[in-house]
Amino acid sequence: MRIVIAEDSGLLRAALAGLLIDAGHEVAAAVGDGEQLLRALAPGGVDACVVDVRMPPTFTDEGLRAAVAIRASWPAVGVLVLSQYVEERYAIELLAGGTRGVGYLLKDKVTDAEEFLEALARVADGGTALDPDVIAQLLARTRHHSPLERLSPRERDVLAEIAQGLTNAGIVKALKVSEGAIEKHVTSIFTKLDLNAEGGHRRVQAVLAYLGQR
Amino acid sequence: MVRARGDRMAPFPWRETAFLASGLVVGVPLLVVCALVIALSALTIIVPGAAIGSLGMLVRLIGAEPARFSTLIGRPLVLRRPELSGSDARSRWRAALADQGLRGWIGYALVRLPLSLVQDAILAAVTIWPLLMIVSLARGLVTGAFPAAGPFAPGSAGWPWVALAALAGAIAVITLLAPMLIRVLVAADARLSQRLLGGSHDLSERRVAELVEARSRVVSAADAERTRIERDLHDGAQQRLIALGVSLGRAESRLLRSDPDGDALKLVRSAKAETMGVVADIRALTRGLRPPILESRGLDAALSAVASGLALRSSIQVTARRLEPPVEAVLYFALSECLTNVAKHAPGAHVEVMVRATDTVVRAEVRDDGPGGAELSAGGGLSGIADRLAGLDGRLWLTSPPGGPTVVSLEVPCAS
Repeated sequence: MRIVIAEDSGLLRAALAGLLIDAGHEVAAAVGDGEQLLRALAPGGVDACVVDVRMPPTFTDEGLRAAVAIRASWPAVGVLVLSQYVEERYAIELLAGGTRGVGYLLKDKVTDAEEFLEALARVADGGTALDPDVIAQLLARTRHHSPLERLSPRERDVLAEIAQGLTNAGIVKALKVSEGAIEKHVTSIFTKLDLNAEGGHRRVQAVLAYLGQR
Repeated sequence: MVRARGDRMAPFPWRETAFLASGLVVGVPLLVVCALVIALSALTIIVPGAAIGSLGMLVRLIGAEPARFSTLIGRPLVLRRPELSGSDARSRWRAALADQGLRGWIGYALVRLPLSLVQDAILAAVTIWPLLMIVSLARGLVTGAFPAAGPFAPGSAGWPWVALAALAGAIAVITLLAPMLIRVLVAADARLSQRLLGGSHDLSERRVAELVEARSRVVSAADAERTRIERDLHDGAQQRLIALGVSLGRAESRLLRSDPDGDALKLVRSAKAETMGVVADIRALTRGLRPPILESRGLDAALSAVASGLALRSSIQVTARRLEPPVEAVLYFALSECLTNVAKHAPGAHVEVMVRATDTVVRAEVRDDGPGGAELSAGGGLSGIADRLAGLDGRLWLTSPPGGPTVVSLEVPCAS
């Protein structure tokens, strides 16, 4: 894959580039702020980018804004956002444009090479990669009048796994339950959330319902 | 009897007397220079800044007054000096005219002499006159040379009682009435002088205003410092530790391929876990300082993350607009501390956070349905919140009956 890295710390940028090259990817560019990131994507041919939320000049949410802009301008490019803190607000803003080809991970996750590369591959492939901590945060909040309140705790667990981008088979492995039980839970979730659309699209809707619950 | 009273009596106020007398000495030049200033100010239309020199002299003369006050009567006289700065005489004169405090200084220069004249007349009446009477009566008693007529003449009605009563009266005046009167005159003088020379505001009011301003500067500085520390830790230690973690992660995946059963893999894994533990510690620390999302998205977003991070069942409603950074920071600190308290003492409770702002004040409430019984102990988390709120004139209330609910309410003034 051709990947662009946007990270303002030179040390971390080099470490990430090394990690990706180790795994056989091509680092098309490694930049230090949002503006340079958008410029690096302009020529095209990039499969995914890894973006730090906090970059110059304001050191608050540059990366997030760049990521939102990339999702609008280059929907085919997977965007994996890295953040020092888990901020559900950022996750919600990032996912507002849909859950295709997007990820939000706590920065620590980059130290888990296999998991990180897997998440990046999933995002580049049009999938979703959400940090379990982000999911946990979103789950912890009880919001009044949210359709999610109708879900049982087990169904919430299953929805959390769906939101992370896992397939039914993946959920079977993660929650250590039978395929049949998962299918039952998933159907129940779709029913309780009033999702009528077909197949995979319903999974996306469920995740959006889950993330957009405010 | 007399001894016993004498023990309790204050000594004669010599210094205060000298103070009242010295007013005359100071008053004369003040009046002269002040007259000069007023006379020359008429000339400024023709000669720009003609009076500025004499005004400077007046300011210097009054500038010596605090020394007279403190050495003679031990009272401070705090001057609010008129603004006489400027590049040339004309602009300095203009600055002086615009100065509210100058009127008081001119007034002081004008009244110093007449006031001291009145004071010293009273002083003379209660000291010199009885003193003369005592001397003349005492001399009469010793030499027998009494006046030939009047109440003190030997042979007149009531002799010698009237003379003795007059003597006793004169002694009473000089030992009891005079000291009291002198002290009253001095106190009134000091108050009037302070009011005229201390600027348009009352001294304490001005001091309070200064302190409030200084305090808000300290709060802002501390806030900026917290932001800086958070950023330094993020850009420095945290990034380097994560980069180190990435390197260890790469080493881990290589070892996984080449030597999956060796000790090296175990060592690298534990080193990585340790490194990421430090990263988590620093994150917990910096989160409490001033998270960047507070700046970029405000209180609601920042608090939501705190509540979820603590795995609390919560609802957060922030209907306030974006507030000044120090106010947002103190609210974030206070409310996240409250949420941490709930997580610690009532982990299963449902917690509601509400933040509302009017034009002048922002009010917040944290209500949980936990077991109650919380207290504001010195050095505890809640009293820490109260202290930091106090830095912005904010306040905190706690109600927490046994059995709950616990409600922490707080309010902070804010600019509209």
